[in-house]
Formats: sequence, structure tokens, C-alpha cells
Amino acid sequence: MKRRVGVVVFPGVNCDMDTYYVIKDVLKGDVRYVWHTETDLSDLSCIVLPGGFSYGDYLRAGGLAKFSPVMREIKKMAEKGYPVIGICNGFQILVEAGLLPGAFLKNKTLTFICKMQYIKVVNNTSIFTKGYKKGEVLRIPIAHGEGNYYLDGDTLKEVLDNDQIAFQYCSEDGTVGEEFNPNGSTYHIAGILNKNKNVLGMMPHPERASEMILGSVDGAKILKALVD
Amino acid sequence: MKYKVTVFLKENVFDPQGNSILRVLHNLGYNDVTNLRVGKVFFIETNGNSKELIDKIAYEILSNPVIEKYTIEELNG
Amino acid sequence: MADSVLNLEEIIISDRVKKHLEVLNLSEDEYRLIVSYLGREPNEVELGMFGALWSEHCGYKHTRKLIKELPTEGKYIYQGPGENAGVVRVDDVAIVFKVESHNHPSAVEPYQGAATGVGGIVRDILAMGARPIALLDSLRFGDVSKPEVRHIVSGVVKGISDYGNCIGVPTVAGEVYFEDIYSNNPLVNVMCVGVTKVDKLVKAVAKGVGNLVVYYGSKTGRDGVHGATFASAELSSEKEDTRSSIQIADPFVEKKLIEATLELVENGLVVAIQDMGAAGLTSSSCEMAAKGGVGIELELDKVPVRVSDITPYEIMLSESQERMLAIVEPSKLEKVREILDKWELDWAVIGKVTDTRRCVVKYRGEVVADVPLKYLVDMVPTYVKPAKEDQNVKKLRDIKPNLIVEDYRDVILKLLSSPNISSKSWVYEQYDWSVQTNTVVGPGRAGASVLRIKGTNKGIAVKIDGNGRYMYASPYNGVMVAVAEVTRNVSFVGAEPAGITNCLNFGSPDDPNVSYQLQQAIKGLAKACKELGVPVTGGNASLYNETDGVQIYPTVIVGCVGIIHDINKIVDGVFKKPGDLIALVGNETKEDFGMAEILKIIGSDVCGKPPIVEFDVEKRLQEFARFVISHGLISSAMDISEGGMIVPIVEGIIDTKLGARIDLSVMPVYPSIALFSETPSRGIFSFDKEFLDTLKMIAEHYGLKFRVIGEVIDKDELVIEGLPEGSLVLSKEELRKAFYSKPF
Repeated sequence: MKRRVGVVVFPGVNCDMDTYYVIKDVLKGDVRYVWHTETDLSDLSCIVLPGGFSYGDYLRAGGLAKFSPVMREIKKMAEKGYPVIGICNGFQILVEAGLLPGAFLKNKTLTFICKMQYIKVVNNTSIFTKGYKKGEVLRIPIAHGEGNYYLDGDTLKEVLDNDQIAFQYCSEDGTVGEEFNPNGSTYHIAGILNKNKNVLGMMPHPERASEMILGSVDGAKILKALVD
Repeated sequence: MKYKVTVFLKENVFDPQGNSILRVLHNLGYNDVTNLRVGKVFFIETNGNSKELIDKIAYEILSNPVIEKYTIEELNG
Repeated sequence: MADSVLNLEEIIISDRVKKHLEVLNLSEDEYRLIVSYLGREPNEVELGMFGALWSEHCGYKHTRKLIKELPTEGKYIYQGPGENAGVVRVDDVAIVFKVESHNHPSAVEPYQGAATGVGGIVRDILAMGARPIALLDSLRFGDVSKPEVRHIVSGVVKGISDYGNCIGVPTVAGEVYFEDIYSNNPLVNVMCVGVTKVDKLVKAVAKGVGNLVVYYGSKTGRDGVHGATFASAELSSEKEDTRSSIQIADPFVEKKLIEATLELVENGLVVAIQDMGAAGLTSSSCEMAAKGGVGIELELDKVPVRVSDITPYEIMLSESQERMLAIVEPSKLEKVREILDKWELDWAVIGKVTDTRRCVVKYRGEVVADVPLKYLVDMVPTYVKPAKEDQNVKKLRDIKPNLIVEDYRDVILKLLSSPNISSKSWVYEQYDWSVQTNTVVGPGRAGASVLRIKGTNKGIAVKIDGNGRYMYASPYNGVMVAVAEVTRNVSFVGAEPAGITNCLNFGSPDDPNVSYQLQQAIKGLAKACKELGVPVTGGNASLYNETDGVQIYPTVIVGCVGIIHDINKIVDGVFKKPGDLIALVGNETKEDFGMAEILKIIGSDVCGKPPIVEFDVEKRLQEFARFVISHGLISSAMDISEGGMIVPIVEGIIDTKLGARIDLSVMPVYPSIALFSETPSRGIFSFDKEFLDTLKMIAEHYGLKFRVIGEVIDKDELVIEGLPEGSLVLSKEELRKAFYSKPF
């Protein structure tokens, strides 16, 4: 059964058009934009919070977007078990809104980083990652200045116990370690799931790795999972 | 000695962050808030009494004198 | 012109006016000219308006006559100079592009200066109704051992990064150079490229008497009052009093501005748009009206302002960022309101289009300015100052450069690690170069970057280049090398150069040597563009780049856009597989070390004649490149420029697990010439050996020298044979250590 995907647009978001394009033109899915003041999401079966600089990242990344009316409805959908994915700034918004644990700090280099990055699939049981093998290495671009995802000791333990880590930064052959972690995130986390595994937040941009012409299609399965 | 240095944009300099946060506050109904400007706070500890040193580093390093001003407060305890 | 009862010589210019003229950078003669035009003395607001529109930045006083020489017609040209940006066209797609400078503000406040520079050029593209899809930047800084230079470098790079990333426009290419001469006068030239359908292009031409003037974007504050005149003045060492000219960037509002403007254009709601850039409301309103042959009336009370005590003068001259002016038919206003409110932008109807051909400004019911537009916009005085070449420069040119290389390993590694040659990944990894998912070849992979055009199988190649040091020794020949290089880079990814935008960065034209440089540079630019068949679509002039009498090198930055007819038929500069052959193709390699990079590296005096471009060979080389790329005969192509042939060879292997073996004994010149000479019109191509004979034949057909100089190998090293000491083996590790070293 085909799903209708909603791509949420907060003022300042940049990757909404890229994500929409992949879902509609590349994956031939049913998709529409959702303006941040909308409160009726009843026609949608899953939500994507795309990347960008909502509200200019002023105050804190995602810090002002969480107050938009649409977030209340997204929270309800998440609680009901609908798939919700936050990419880059979208991930930051989900964290600020409390749908995912943790917080974000500036990259350890204190600079914005844009490059191709290898990540490893750690949990392949969620709807978003079931298309991959466990331990599979993907090549997907990152582009962020505040990707240093932080979990305190207790939360990290919880997250590990519940198998919530979706992706970790790694080397080309899948080795996880500090030298392969571009921003210093806790436990080299590149993507994380909520307890129920229906909400995913990830820093890398799968919509930028869904067409061969751009250099990699490793990200396509994540967005395809929303379409099928 | 303990000092608190507050750095903020000069009055006639536009504050994009403050402007955007104020707009969100208004959208949320907090219309009694009429202005909001964003600054930075530094807590500094030194050996002995060094107001002059604090002033120097505030001017040369902690602030951008082209667009920012600062205040220095001595903290007790 | 009104009947004048005033005798110009008898006009006594009061002290108050003299002070005002000084702030505005207008001469007393210009004041007298204004008086003769108006038939009376202008009031303060009017004089401020003249100061803004007659500034070098807006009025092009010293360059207007000279740039008439530039060719503006071409195969893909849809629209040349005169609008906010130039346009080339492919089928029904319009590609809009232009380069602009923000040098003076970046010298005083690097972060905000660079950020607002990006904002300004993006709005120029946006004003044409096009979506900005790429940014390129050309940056020139001083000696990095100086802390103040490092402060400028960090500020500028962060400013461009923060702004470009926030608005979601990828910075896909650029160049960064370091020369002591730019220490107090950095060059920040930013180019923007946008895309739209040809029938959706908007002009900045006001029309329709009775149409409304709609202001939208950010509120107006006092920032940047006298910014246009500040950009047209030399800097003294005291930066304190330039504080009020610092404009502050707000990329969040700019992003909203982009989306709102494109929605307005998509829905056919605007007659004309102009961004409020240099000289803000004054220039945008007057230029739009003058172009349309209409008049304009403004009510300053209606302008959204940040502070309540702002004066009409300040409102007219404010350079607060992120503001646009649109001409809207009254019937369309409701829909315009919907869009602007949706995007939460400040906006207001602040005036109307009239048929008076005058700009009339009202405030609190009174007329505070009333000037015929032709005087402000069309009758700006132009100057061609006396020109004389500095004899010291001529002497420098006549000294033959001395190149003696003893330790090749040492020299090669020094060259690769030098700030001008080493990788700029420490810069471009701070830029989001992949947002908008159009970047097919991003920074660091080839001479130019490639973007696809969604919805078609076509693409564009973009590049920006310049050479200040060559131009110092010979403005005429130096600029031609830059034009040849930028078009070559575009051809070498498989694109056809379609148009050029240029930025003229010079010292003060009051100096006869600078005037000479200006005239020669524009002559050279015109010649190169004519020879290569690539027209100039527009550009920018930034003069007075000097501090305390020390002038920058004359530096013409050229940006080029090329058309790719099949996005699947492109190459980059990276070698692909072991066994592939490496060939040097193009002009014969000569002893071209005049003003070359290698001289700095070995500590030799930098002197000599810069290389001369042979356009005949250059054209044939570019056609050869496009031909072999479109027929899938080569694996990689990279041009040879600063540093010589060694650079593209290293760049071919540096990001791979491959190596190369080069044999210099096949070259008819001495090894140091082979490796480091900067003779133009040459390139390094790698290809599968099965295509060797075919390529030889094609090169012969194009009359180009074709010499196989080595092959790609399956080892992590670079082997150079045929050196005086025999062979040299450089490990990838030492090459990477050198090439990826940062200047600080």
C-alpha cells in the first residue's frame, strides 16, 4: 500500500525541495509539503523533517522551530507509531521537541563540515533501515556545523540497552573510532531511533545519496522505506 | 578575583537573532515583550585584583570592538 | 536642463556643503555640475542621493567609457550588461549570473563584510526572478604570518560559510590567494548563478503609471549609511570612524526573501524587482524608474523602520540588508500581501509610479527631495584619467627570472605546501557544496565545478579565476591569461564557455599608473573575450583598494559559465585506473617563469614577463578537450596553470589509491621547465591506452602538441624519471602531508 509522505517546511529549511524531489521524481512516491502552521495532517502516513537552517539556527539549532503549531501534531503521530524521520536540522528539531533523547553541540572542529562520510548500519530492524544488512557501510554526505550529538552517561546506557543507535560514523571498511568521527558525537552516533523505533534522527543526508549522478545511491533505501 | 563580562552588540547595530526570537515570542502570544537583544556572558577568575587585565582581554579578544560593547562586573565570593 | 540664472564660477560652496561633499566623496566640480543640472543648489537629502548614485560603485565613473569596448554578443547570450545580472540561455532555461565585490567592508569587519557580500550578489540574481543555485568566491588575502591577516581570513571564510549555508545556496567553486600586497586590502569577490525559465525572467524596469512601489524584507535601520561612498573611498589606517558603515547580515531573512520573491514571480505578481543594495532605497527606486522612462514618488513615512528617530536622509541612504523593492499592479496587491505575510517579512506600499520622470520623496506631508531622474542615473559624469605606466614595473618586467632547482624533492614539496598551491579543502569543506542536490562535480575534483539542471539532461560548468601578480607586471597580458584559464577550466570538464562576468579590482584611478592599469586591463579583457568568442555579460568595478598609498595589484577576476549539452558526458581531473596513459597536450612548453609561483618558492626575485596567450592554440585546445570528452575517449583532464605541470599530476592521484610514473626525458625542455613552467594553453589528460592512436590523430588534426609523458600506476607513490639526479620517488604520504597543509 502506498503511503503519502509529508515534508515539513519551517521558515529557513533548505533541503525540503531536495527531499521532495527524491521522493517524488526519483522514488515515484506520493508526497506533499506541510507548512509549519498546519494542524491537519490526517492525509499523511509518514513525516519527514528535512535539513536546513530553520529560523536561521538562531538561539539554538531547532530551538525555535519546536514551537511551530505543526510540531504538536507530529508528536501525536509519533506517539501513534507513524514513521517520522528527521534529517540534519530535522534531527535537531526532533531532539529539541523531545521526540528523541540528547542534545547538540558545535562540531569538535568548531567549523561547518561538508564532505562524503562513511556510516555503518547498527540497527537494521526499524522500518527505515530494514533494507540494509547489519554492519553495512554506506557513503552519504554530511553538511553541518552542530552535529556533535551528546548523550549523558545514563541516557547512553538506556539507548544501548534498547538498541536505539541506528548509524555510527566509521571508516571505509566499517571501523568505528574517534578518527572517523567528523564532529565528536557521543559513541560516534550518526543516527538514532526512539524506543519504539518509529522515529529516526540522522545527521547525514540520504536525499543527497539517492542518485548515481551525485556519486552514491546508498541513502535511497531509507527514503524508499517511507514510500512503499 | 571573579569577574562577569557581558558582551553585547552596540545599540545602533542590527541584531538578527534577537529580531527573530522576538518574532517567535510574539507568534506565541507574548506581546508584552517589546524588545530582545542577544549577548554573551563570560565568567573569569584571576589571581589577585586585575580589572585592567579583564578590560584589556574584553576589548582585544572577547568582543569585536567594531560592533560590540561590554560591561565588567566584579563578583563576590 | 532648466534655464540657469546661476553663473557656475560664482557659486560659493559653503563650509557645511564642503563637509558633506567630503563625506559623500563628491568633488566640488561635481557639485557645480549638479547645480548646473538642477538650476539650483540641491538640499541635503538630494545631495545625499547624488552622492550615492554618483559613487564609483553605482555610477561607474572611471570605468563606464572603458568597458564599452567589451564584447557583449554571443551564441548563448539572452541578455548582456545593463540589468541586475547577465543571462545565457539553453533551450528554455535561463542561466543568470554575476560577480560582485565587497572588498572595503571585509577589510573593516571581515565576517559581516563577506556575509553581506554574499547576500548582495544573491539578491541581484533573485531580482531577475531566478532561483540562486550556486556561489563561487575569489578571495585574496595578505601575508598569513601577520595576525591581522589571519583574523581577516578566518572572518571572511566563516562569513561566506555561515551565510551561504544558511540560505541553502551551495558554494561550489572558488580560489584563494595569498600575497602581501593584499594585507590591508583583502579582495572578496563573490559570484552567484541562478536558474529560471526564460519566460519567467523579470527586469528591473519600472512601468505602468499608478503602479505601486512595494518594499519588503527587513526593516530599515541606520546601518550602512554612506556604504556606497565608503566602498568608493580609500581606507586610512584609522578604522574607528567607519563603524557606522558596517552592515549586518541576516541570512534567515534572506532565505525567506528568496522563497517569497520566487513565489511572487511564479504567480506573475510583480512588474519589476530591484534589490536594495548599494545606496539602498535611493538606487533601487531611481534606477528602476529611470530604466522605464517613468517617474517615482516615495512616502518615507510608510517605510518600515527599526528606530523611530531615523531621518529621511538616513532612510534614503540606509544600506540595511535583505530588502527588495517591487513594482506591483494595484489589483495584484492582495495576493502579494498573502505571500509576504506567509513568509513573515516586513513590508509596505511606500510609493507609486508616475509619469514625471522625476524622483519625488515626501516625508510627513512635505517634499524633501525632487530630482529629475536623468541627472541622477543617466548623466553621471564619466572620467578617463591620464594614464602612465610606472617605469619601475617596466624595469621589473625586463629582468629575466632566475630559476635554478637543485633539490627537486625539496622544491616540489615546498611548492605543493605553499599557500597558493596547496589544497583549499580547509576552506571549501566549511561550505555546504551539495545542498540543492545539483552538484555533480564539487570543489577539489576538477578545474571547474559542474551542476546539473533538473528536468533536463543538460548542465552547466562554473569557474572563477584571476591573476594579480601577472597583471601587476603586465595588465594587458596578465588579464588575458586569466580569461584563457577560466574558459579552459570550463572546457576541460566538457562544457562550452557561454559567458563571462568580471570584477575589476584596482587602486585609485587618480594615480596615473592605476589609470594605465585600468585601461590596459580592459583592453586585454576585451581582446581575450573576442578571440575566444566568449562575451561579457556584466560585472563590477571596485576601485580605491589601497591603504596609506599602498595599492593592490591590478586584479581582474573573471567568472565563466559553460553549457554542458549532455550531463553524462563530463570528466574531472582525477586519474582513474592503473595502466591509463598520461599525456601533455596543447602548446609547446616554453621557459615561462615570468612572475611565476615557483620563484617565490625557491626564494628567487619575482620578476619577468608574464606568459603571452596564443589564442589560436588556446581555442584549438579547448575544442579538442570538448571533442574527446564528448566521445568518451579520456578518463580525466586538468589544465596547467600556477606552479606548472607538477600540480595537475599530483592532483590526479592525491585523493586516490593510485600513483603515477612520469618520464621527463621525453620532453624537449629541461626538467625544471617541464615541471614548473607556466606556459598557458596546455593540459594533462589521462586515458585508456587503447585510445592512444585515436587521440594522437585528433590532436594532430587540431594542430596541438601531444606527448605521452607517463602512466597511472598501482602504487601509492609518484615516480619522476629523467631528472638530473636520475629518478625521484615521492610517497603519497609525503605528497598528502604537503598538499593538505594549511597556511595557519
